[in-house]
Amino acid sequence: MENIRHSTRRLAFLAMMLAIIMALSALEHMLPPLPGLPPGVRMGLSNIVTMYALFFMGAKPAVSLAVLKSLFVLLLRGVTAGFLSACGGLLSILIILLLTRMFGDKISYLILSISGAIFHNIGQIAVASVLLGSGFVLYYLPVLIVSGVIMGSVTGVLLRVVMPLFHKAAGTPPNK
Amino acid sequence: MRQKNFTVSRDVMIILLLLLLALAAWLVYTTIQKQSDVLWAEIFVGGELVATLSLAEEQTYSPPELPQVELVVQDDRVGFVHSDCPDQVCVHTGFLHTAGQFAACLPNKVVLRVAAVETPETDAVAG
Repeated sequence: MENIRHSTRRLAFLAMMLAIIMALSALEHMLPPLPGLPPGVRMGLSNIVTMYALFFMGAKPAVSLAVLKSLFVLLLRGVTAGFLSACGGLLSILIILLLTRMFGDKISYLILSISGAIFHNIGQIAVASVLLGSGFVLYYLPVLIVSGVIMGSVTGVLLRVVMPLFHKAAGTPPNK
Repeated sequence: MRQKNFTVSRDVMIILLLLLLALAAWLVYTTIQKQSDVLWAEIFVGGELVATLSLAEEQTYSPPELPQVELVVQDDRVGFVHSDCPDQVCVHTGFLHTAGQFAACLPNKVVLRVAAVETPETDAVAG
């Protein structure tokens, strides 16, 4: 079995995933902000890719992808947007890692995806609140949770769909 | 990492719990808020309150050092109508009408928030 840890193939695969993330991020931002949601909270399709990296390639590649995505956002939309993206993305990864450590096999991808989505939202709005010196979280909490459940489910399903395709491209066997 | 299940039967319960949590948070929020309050728009620049506008009066407002940022109060709603930020998230947020809602132009550090005040003073009110 090919050692996936240090290989050119892995590097190329991660680069391709970053490209997908950037394309999804750009696409999402072209859509109008969804009504009822706080400003800056979007669909979160790039999480599909980040989650795949987190589940099948390890925490380091996933965090790298999240950081690089934030740099991309910073280039396109400015420092504040980049900072929000970083905080939301990193908190999301952190929570998923925590849940995986705590529950191991008993937790499902769907719930991990939903939790990641919810905390991605919470991370962004909490940081925005701190930056702006006001506490907005309580008002938006219900919306953040519900939208996290919905979008988390969508990204979770999409992840399940693309998983075999990513496996093939990466050369990752499903059971190690 | 071994592949997990995509979804287990427990998931339904977890999702329901999350939705219940959202509902609880919403109930807490609406109970705290009293319906008869007068609504005001609070405008913060760099974290400092610079203006309090009544939603009842139609008006246009720009923060003192930021003439390129314009807010409008109309039909008991308030919103950003113009800004020089690259994002335009503030403008796209639209008009706010309920206490607790907010819109922000982060590059310009302007925050617009709707607050409910029971006995409005003519001077700025502490949020």
